[in-house]
Amino acid sequence: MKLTPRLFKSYASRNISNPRLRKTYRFATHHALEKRLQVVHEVPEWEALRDRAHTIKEQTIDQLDHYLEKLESNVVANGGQVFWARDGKEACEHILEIAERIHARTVVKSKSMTTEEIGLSHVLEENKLDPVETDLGEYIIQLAHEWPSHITAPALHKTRGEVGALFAEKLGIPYTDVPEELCEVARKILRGKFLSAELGISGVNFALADTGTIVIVENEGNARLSTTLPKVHIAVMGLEKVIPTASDLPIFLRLLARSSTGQKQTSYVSLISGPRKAGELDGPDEFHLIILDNGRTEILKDPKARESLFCIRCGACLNTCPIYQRVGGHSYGSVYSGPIGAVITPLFQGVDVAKDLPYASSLCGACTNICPVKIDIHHMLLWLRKQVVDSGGTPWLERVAMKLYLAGMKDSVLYGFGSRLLRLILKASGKANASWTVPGWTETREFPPLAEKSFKTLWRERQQEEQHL
Amino acid sequence: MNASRSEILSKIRLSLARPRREHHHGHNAVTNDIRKLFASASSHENLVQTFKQEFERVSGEFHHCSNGDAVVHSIKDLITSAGSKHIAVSRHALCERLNVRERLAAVLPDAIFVDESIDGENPFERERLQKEMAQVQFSITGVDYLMAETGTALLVSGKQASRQISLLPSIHLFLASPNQIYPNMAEVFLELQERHGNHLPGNALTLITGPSRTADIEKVLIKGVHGPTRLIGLMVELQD
Repeated sequence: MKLTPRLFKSYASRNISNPRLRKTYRFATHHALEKRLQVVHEVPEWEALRDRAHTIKEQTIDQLDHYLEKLESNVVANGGQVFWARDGKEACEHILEIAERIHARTVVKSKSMTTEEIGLSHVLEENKLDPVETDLGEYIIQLAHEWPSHITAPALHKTRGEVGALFAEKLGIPYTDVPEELCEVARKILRGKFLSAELGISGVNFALADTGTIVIVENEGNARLSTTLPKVHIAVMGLEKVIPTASDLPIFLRLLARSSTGQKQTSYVSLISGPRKAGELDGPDEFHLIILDNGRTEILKDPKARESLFCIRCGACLNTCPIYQRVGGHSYGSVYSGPIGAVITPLFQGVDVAKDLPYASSLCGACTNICPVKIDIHHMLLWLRKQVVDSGGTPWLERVAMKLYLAGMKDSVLYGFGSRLLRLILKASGKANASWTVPGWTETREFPPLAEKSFKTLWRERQQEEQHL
Repeated sequence: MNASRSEILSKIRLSLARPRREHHHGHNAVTNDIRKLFASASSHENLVQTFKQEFERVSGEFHHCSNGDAVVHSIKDLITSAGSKHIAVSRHALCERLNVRERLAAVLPDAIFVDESIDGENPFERERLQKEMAQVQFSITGVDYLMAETGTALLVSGKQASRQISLLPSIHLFLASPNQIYPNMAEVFLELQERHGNHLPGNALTLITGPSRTADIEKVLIKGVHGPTRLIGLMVELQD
């Protein structure tokens, strides 16, 4: 499989006809939604928290330059180093420079969507380093040479049998499909990597401007190990991850775990303020923070698109989306899948490349309703569809049809004429079913049979009857 | 500072369609405002009970002791039943005050104790500590704050305790006292701000809610992936 949103339609139709895959997705997403519902119900302040989180993000993004500069100066004051990267290439090159300087060989990585976005592991591999994904789900997909199928559960598409077969093949262990045993195998291998790695790389869930602290949220402890044991720690953050103060953090943490995994709190939240300080017992000697643009300042330009930068990557919109549940994460051809992926992938890669993604929605609004930071996701998808149409991304037949339809809707005489003409053509063709008229559209949909009389005729007749009464 | 810095910052200003300007105090969350958002979890009554209930919900093992002897006795039993041989004790105030390490050593003559009293500025000693800690099966630390709403413990890592002591061993036990329990996380962060201003203590703060866990294979919950398999909280309510 190739990582490109251009192939959405073919990936989606292939996945839809795979019952095993659909069952896996249905089970996993419903499981997450049920757990979420329980812990959200017990928080009466839920809506107020969402509003607050939205406002904090809005006001921070509105003064993004100020907060990033503040973050930078506080990270430096804590003894850390800050590097600004225009794009993924610049970020990867900087990481390679550091790795070379410290003669790194084994690099332990904790789960990070931003490093997936810039394809960091591939770059490290190409440069003779040994990058090891240490989150169990990420480890599985690294062994399988795949990309994440879900923002928070990257190996959600794999059954235990598939993981067992994968471990047997790649790690040379006897086959087992018992999750506990598979987990134990991974724990042992990865523990060795943690203890020998020279470099640890993590993402960032939140960056606190006023204290110069990065926050990492996780359950397994791999992020703690990756950021604690190696001598050098590099954290990569998208520039939208900054929030003003440490006292804002509890608001987001009360929303995040509940939305994401249905936990009240994840097992671990690490707040890291720079490297080991004088007299301290452990922690890395060097701490580097990479602030990544990679298209984000472009997104910032459009006030409508800007809201997509509020996302805290909880994955709730994926779980609740009827399209995601059916087509699965890989169909999107992007590391970011689901409704939020359908918004940010076209914004990052261009509507021409990802023109099918805004249509991967029933516009039901479930994503918007569930979003803990109240991003108006389904209206953004609608707005993106307009960008696709405006940039000529739709077929000529559809454009002509829509122009005629628009003319008809504006003029009742034209409308009447048009509908009579259509009825005549359909009847003259002598077919009960009119599927042949719109070949592409009706391949996957039933075209309803033509009614005896048009609505207008029925209406007129009814009014006449009423007059007679 | 690299060249991209000014480019990115000016792009941000351009995209926000405004020149560089002084920061305006838009949100600056007021204390009462934050408290309101946690109102349903702000009761100061029965904090120990609430903490215990939530801690156990996330598979934490809760114990209660009323004097130093009982603490040592409980820990000794836990270590013996787990069959742990390598033990580490942090230099947290409560561990020191109860003299946990020496008293345990007296009742567990076969145990090997890993000492965190090293010279942090000596890289060889740090390296040795890491190697030794990787062998430890049972670690004992204090905590700095507890949160009742979620059953969470906050540990400040730095001089008193390493980051790895609550991470590498497969069983982590922390000693705490009831006055360390706050109703929720917002209260703890307000307290941190009150005490430390804009400088969070230590190079890392860790919020711990239950043992390490994963559900990455078919949503099956497994405890103890990379961090401790068991998390034990020992509430010390000294009567004397």
